[in-house]
Amino acid sequence: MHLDQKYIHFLLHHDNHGIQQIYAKFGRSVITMIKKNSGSEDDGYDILQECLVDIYHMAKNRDFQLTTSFQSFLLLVCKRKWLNELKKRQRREVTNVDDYVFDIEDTSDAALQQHLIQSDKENVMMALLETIGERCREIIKACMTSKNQEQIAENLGLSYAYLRKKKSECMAKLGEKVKEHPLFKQS
Amino acid sequence: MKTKDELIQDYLDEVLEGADKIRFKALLDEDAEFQKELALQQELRNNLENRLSADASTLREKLLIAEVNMRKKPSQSIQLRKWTPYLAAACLLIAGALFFFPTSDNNVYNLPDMRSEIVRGDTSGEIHRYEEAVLAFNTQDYGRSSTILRELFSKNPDVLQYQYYLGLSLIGENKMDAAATQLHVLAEGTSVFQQESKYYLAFALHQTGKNQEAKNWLHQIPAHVKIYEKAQQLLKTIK
Repeated sequence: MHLDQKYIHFLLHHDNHGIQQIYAKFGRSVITMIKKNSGSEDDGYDILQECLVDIYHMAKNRDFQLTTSFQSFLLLVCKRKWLNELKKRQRREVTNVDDYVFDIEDTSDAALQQHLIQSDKENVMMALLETIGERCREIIKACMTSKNQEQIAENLGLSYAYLRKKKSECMAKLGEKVKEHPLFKQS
Repeated sequence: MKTKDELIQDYLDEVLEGADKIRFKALLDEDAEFQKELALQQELRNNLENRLSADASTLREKLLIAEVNMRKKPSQSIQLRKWTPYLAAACLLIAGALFFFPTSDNNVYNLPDMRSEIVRGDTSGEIHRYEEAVLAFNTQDYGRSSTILRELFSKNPDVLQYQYYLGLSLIGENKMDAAATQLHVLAEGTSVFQQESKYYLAFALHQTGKNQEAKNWLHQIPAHVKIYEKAQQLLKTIK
């Protein structure tokens, strides 16, 4: 296990002191990288926060072992996210990206790449969930966090049969949106 | 006859039976598109369950506090931008914790934001009053949110959402015995607020020194629910 695994532990356990350490030790390098690539200081802080949350999600439900330094991994995650953001903003003047990204100790780590791809897919899916309408979102969230669908139906003021029908429609709707996204089209 | 989408959801929920089961198997054997859709729905379900079960709201608050600390320099003012509501909430949480909750570990206490919609709001007057409670609660004016929610709950005792946030408002007011009375009912019930109510009931009991009772409630929170991690942290604090 890499010595820097402790930073993953800090995120998983919402450790105040550990999180302060992460910001103090690694925050500036992320913000510098983004500022050198068409971003502002605020962009840097936004991306840093989003990437730390992504790393939390990666580690939360899967056996996630860091095989490179935390700084390298964090920069890799932030670089990917920032490049995606720039594409969304349709700014093409990305220059000198590689000059400011620290070398990754092991770029051939397939497991790490798999975690990153999975994280991207989950982020896309959660973003698309916000676009399918409030009622569908409410039903999907309730059904995914509890197995007791009779109770969910009662709490939402619906019949069980209607809930099941609506849930299948909503999941199909989400599926259609996901299928149209380039990230899922690739796989 | 059920649609293909319904058959897929029934299969994933393990409630497929009878003629539907036979039809599902036939489609799976013969229809390549059906197979792809099933695989996609399985992937979506796994991803949604992973993400929705891992509540990152507490982490975000702590990240924001770290950001505020990092940005603070003697000659600079803090820049406020699109995260202004979260920054304000983070600062109010710190101030509230220092003044009202002298416990050494604030990791285990964070009142969630109050939802801004009611699942079963009946009248526009009720909805408007509820929105007033939301505003009061989310700006830590717990005295006001308590008053409004008590009024709403007395008129609509079947809307458990009112009772839940009344319980939390009372915690915010440091009226732990009153909070425990409200949350106890929900903790013993079967609503969507059950597990969170167990946690906040345990917190209220802990604050009044009823630690064994608090631990009993925390031990009842199952590992797969969102509040489990916080419950474990509170258990460590109590021990």
